[in-house]
Amino acid sequence: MEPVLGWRIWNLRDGGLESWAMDYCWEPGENLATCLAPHRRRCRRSPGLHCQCGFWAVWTPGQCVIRACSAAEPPWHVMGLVVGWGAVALHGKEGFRAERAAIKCLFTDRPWSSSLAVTAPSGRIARWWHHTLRRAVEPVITLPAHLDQLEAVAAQYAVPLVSLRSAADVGILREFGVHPTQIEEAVSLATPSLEGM
Amino acid sequence: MGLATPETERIEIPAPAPLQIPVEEPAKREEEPVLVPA
Repeated sequence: MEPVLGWRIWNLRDGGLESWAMDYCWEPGENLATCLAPHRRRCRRSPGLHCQCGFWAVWTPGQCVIRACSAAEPPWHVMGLVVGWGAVALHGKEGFRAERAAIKCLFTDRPWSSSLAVTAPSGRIARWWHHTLRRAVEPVITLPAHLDQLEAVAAQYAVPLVSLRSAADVGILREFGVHPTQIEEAVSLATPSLEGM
Repeated sequence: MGLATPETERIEIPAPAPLQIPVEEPAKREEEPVLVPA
């Protein structure tokens, strides 16, 4: 049986990928879950029954984005793909909790955020654009401030950092075993690409 | 923040196989002909 593949979100903090719910920073490579449930007897092995412990992920990118949007204050959220194995608790059509997990790749897209602000050039830039390209002023994408941090964290975890669109176009998602309907969904969630600019 | 749906099934999945990177053997060089002076 192949490891389960799921989508999830982390907080990018101090160069690491931190769990949303718990005080846990993911390690590069394999992560082993332990129950950190407060105010109750901890599970001997994660994912425990009637508990929320274990490394969770959801089955689809859309569900992942809905979670990010539902957060009260999405600060530095990063979306990625994980694999889970060992003891795995399946939660219907929503996702899973796994005893062991590893990050497969991270995405530059933040479909829940307006940090990729699309703005129209003005002033000197607009005149240069018009003069050089003989084209009307078009919107440009402002580089997100956190892209450098994303690249650093991807290097630290030794995983690829890609946009959803390029991951679909070059076949990375298919190679990881992502279902074609999920690939379509991922492309529909893709934010404007910074590549080739 | 966890999963809202109750647990429906429990499975045991073996560890993924380590990544096998195919090592390409260097191509054998054809022996150069030995030139013998006439």
